[in-house]
Order: sequence, then C-alpha cells, then structure tokens
Amino acid sequence: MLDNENNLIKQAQKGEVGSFGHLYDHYLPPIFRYVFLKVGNKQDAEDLTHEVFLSAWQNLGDYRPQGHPFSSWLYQIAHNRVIDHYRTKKSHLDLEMVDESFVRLASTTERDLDLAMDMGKVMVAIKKLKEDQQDVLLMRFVEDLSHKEIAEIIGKNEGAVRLIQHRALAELRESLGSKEE
Amino acid sequence: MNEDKLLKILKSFRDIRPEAEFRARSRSLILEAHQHPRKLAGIRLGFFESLKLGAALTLASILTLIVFGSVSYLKFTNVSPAVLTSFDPSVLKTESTSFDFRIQLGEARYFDEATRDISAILDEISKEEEARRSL
Repeated sequence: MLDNENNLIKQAQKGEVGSFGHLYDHYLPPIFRYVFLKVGNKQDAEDLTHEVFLSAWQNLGDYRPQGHPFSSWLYQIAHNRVIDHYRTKKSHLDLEMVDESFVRLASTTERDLDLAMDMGKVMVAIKKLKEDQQDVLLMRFVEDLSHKEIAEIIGKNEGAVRLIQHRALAELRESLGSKEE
Repeated sequence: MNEDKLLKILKSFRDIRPEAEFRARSRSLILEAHQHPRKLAGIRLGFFESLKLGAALTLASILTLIVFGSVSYLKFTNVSPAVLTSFDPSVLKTESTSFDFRIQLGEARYFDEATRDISAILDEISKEEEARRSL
C-alpha cells in the first residue's frame, strides 16, 4: 500500500491526474506481472494491463474503500479482464511452450539463464492447473497477497482459498517432479 | 522438485516488470482519457431525464386522446339517418321477431320436405321386399 494512498485516491476521484499517476506507477508492475503470468504473452499482457488501468481511471468514482484495499479492486478488474480475454481469444495457447517474451522478460532480471528456464518450466506447469489454482498461487507466492485479499478478488471464502493453495502446490510438485524423472 | 525450490522460483517471478516504453505510452494515454461521471451524479441526471420522459409521455397521451376523440365525434356526426334509425329499440324488436318467425317457417318447410323424401324412400324399400318374397 502506498503512503497517503487514501488521500491520493480521493484526489484522483476528483479528477486530479497527478494523483492517479502515482497510483499507476505503484501498481503497474504487480498488475502487469499477474496478467502476464496468466496469459503468457507480452503483447496481450500489455494490452490487457492498459485496459485494466484505463477502466480503473474512468470508473474511479465507483470505488469505495469500505475495508477493501485499492489493490484488491485493481486485481479484481484484472481478474475479470483476463477471464473476458480467455472467452474472446480464438487461438489456444500451446501449453507445452512458453512464449519467447516470457524467457526474455525473465532473463532481464539479471539472473542466469538456468533460472530463467526453470521459471519457464514452472510457468508451463502452472498453465496446466485450473484457473482458480493459478490465481491463488500467483497472488499468494508471487504478489504476496493475504488469503483474505485473494478470497475477495476471486469470490471465494478464505477456507476455500487455503484448500485451493494446498492442492495447487501438490499438483504442481507432482507435475514438475514427473518431468524431472 | 521440492517445495522450497518451487517457492523460490515462484518468488523469482516478482522480478518480471513491464518495459519502460510500454509504461510511458500507456500512462500518457490513460491520463489523457476522461473519467466517467460518478454514479451519484448519474442518478441526479437520471432523475431529471426521467422527468422529461414523463412529461413527453403525458403530452403524447393527451394528444392521442384528442385525436381519437375527434375521430369518434366526426364519425357520429357524419352517420346517415338510416343508420341511426336502425338503432331504434322498437324497430330492432320488430325485426328480431319477424326474423324468428322466418326461421321457424324455414325449419317447418325443411322438416316437411325431409319427411316426404323419407317416406318415398321407405315405400321403395317395402316394394322391393315384396318383390323378393314373391320370387
């Protein structure tokens, strides 16, 4: 959460462009990352991320805190946008291949190529999981969201989120373990 | 792959970031866009809009009544005397009774003719029977 975030949101709701700019700068990386790991393609991820923030800016007047963090609201928009994308996307992703843009982006983290390849393998394995399992893993272990926040975003209760996480990790380990054998 | 290694790789995904060029372009486009009006303002706007709609519908209803009323009035004033007299109750009663009488006469004539036809047919049948017996 940004310092003075509530004040920034109020100013942005009044049309203060600079305030929303601060919010954009802070939340763009995690939202882009979430979308990119879901769709596996840089171009689509950029388009969808742009749409998420455009929608947030245009409909900021509808956001009410009421115990829901601004980040959760953004993730909800992103989550719904990704679902819409899957519905309209004509081509199917090749689950065995990782988009080259993924490897390029992963490599730019200044880590070695082996790690980038491991990340690619994990990415392919994650794509084989159910949608809610993917969401929970990415939000919990990549974006470090709490179970409560994840539950709000995907529309389930906390208990269900914990169960989904447990099963998702087990399936992921099994999938990666069988590949290594 | 053990869980520790798996979690370490998942955490490595945090370093994935959007490219600077995309960031600048997207930010600029978004901040130039207009915000949608707040829902509260939308409700106020909707209230006045609904008033306008209500007024328009009321006016249309009044005009429709005037038009149909005029047409009905014109119809009644332009009917012929012959048509008007046909609505006289005593005339209607006379017509209806004569109509009933005509129906009864017609029915009687029908039954009379039918009876004659039937008896002719029965005569024929009985003659044929007698002829067969005599053979």
